[in-house]
Amino acid sequence: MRRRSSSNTPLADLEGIVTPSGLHFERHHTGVPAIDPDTHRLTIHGLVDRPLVFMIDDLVRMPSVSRFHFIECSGNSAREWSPAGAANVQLSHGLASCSEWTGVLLADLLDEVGVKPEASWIVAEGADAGLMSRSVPLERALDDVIIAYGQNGEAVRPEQGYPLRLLVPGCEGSVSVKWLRRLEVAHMPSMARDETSKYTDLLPDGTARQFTLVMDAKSVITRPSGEQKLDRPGFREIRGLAWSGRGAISRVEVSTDGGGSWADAEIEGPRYAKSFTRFRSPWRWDGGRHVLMSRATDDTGYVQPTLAALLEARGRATIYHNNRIKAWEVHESGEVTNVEA
Amino acid sequence: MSRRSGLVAAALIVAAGAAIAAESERAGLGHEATAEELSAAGYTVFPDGRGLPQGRGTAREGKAVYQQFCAACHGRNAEGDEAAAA
Repeated sequence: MRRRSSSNTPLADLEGIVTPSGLHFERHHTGVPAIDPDTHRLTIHGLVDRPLVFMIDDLVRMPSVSRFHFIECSGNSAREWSPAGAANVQLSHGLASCSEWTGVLLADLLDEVGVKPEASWIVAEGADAGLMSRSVPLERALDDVIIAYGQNGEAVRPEQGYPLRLLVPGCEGSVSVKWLRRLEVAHMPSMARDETSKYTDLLPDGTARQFTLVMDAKSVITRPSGEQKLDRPGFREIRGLAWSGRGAISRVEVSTDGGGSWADAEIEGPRYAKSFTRFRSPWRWDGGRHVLMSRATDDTGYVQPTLAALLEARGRATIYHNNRIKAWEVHESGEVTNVEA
Repeated sequence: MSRRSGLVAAALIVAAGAAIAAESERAGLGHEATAEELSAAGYTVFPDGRGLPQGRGTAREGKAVYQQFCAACHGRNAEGDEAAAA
């Protein structure tokens, strides 16, 4: 059966911070493999004292953690480099989803194998046809990285890496290698295809930023948003999602006049680090034209930038890591469209 | 902080006797990889050449192999092929 290599989460139709597993965005580089969990092996080797093989049962017996984290493809919002951007929020921001992930801390598994002092990177490899591979700095691997077998209370879905995936919180999605089969503890990154030819950011001077793993703070209004229609004036809530790969969201501001003035939105529900965070702001539509925008700040003080600021810093050749402030225009007809911010 | 250090600390507080995971730093799960398993797992070739398997033959022989199996995507002189890379 032919499958699409990517699909987007319908953010405008969802409530709260959890993405139902079946609506999690998908991005596969070489298809979705069918893996027998009873024979699947995770081998950890390289610069270690004891190369070990873990079956799924071994991993389930290890101390477990369950944590809410978003995954965002670094190509999310790639269409947003043009001033107006994509027509609706599924297209503009839908390569981001959030789940409760359950699994083993990679730090615990590295304790089991014993990491040699000269090690500085971990190379992760998936069991898909192309052996998708990414390198993770050891410091980050020892921090909050999870070897996940659970997602939202059930097993990780096949499209999300069943039976095992790497989960690198806050980092670009492709680093969270799915169908994880091998971890090699190493002295340097492997410079795999997906960290050289792809997933690097070309700058105006011809050099490229590499290993730009962290997803910067971002937010988007999901209601009202592009292609929706307001049926009549009156009260309605502006709702949206904010997230940051550096930590927790500390503030979200909303503007209804195209950035002329801003007001703090209310954070609704949990405010976990490196997780979707829900914001809402009461609004009474007067039937006139309005341009709606949101701007997130995280607990490191980082403020979500405008498109102009991103272009100033990175030029026009880069396609990844677009966290610009997004604008939607509410017309007098009630129709909502994307608009140049 | 790894979860294990927390477990060990907790076990130390309850002191001796209790069999709660304090006997070792490690859980001892998983099994030592056999040579066969390591071979099946594969390896990474790093940019500095580490990880390359033992080679044989000459550059002249290698050129013929490259032209047959690699050049279609990587270019006649390994300069890359934009179309193949897309």
